[in-house]
Amino acid sequence: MNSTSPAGRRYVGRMVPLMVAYVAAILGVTWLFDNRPPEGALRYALAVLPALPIIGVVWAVGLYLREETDEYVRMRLAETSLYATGATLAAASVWGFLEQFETVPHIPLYYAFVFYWAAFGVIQGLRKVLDR
Amino acid sequence: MKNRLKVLRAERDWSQADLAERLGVSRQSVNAIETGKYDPSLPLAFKIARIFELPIEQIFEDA
Repeated sequence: MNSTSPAGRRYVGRMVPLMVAYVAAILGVTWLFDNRPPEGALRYALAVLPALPIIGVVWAVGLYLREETDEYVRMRLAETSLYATGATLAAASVWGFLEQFETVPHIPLYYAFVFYWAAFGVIQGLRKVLDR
Repeated sequence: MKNRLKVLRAERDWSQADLAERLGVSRQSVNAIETGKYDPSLPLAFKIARIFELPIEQIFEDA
């Protein structure tokens, strides 16, 4: 990712409010479910709230990919994203079966997102070193 | 793909960053093209050719 290009700056500009919204949603919703648990349809609506900024992050990355005019930077990002997607699907499958046969504890599904970005960072870092 | 970017750049005393700025791409892109790790798209190849005022085949070699 190139944070100095116009597309990169727009990406950062979109990410900051999303991150703020995420922190606010997770703190607010956790407090609410701990203290005044909502009922009925509201329960669903509020429970899904922290996921919305995360979906926003996926959208922001997609927009960055479309808007970045540097074709090499764009290609690298797309490739790294594919590698990270593959790593995430592989890890989720392995963990899923380990869990199924009760050898490991359950992990909430949203950790797939965390894993994806961790894999993304490691792969991007490795490629930087290898490309030198 | 082999290319003469490094030589052409040196002849004009331009750094990778100078050429990147003229092309409107990042310095890492120029580096990747120069070292043959990345083949530029046709539009970018034409842009490079125009900047050096040479035909594309005098810059890039498909051997």
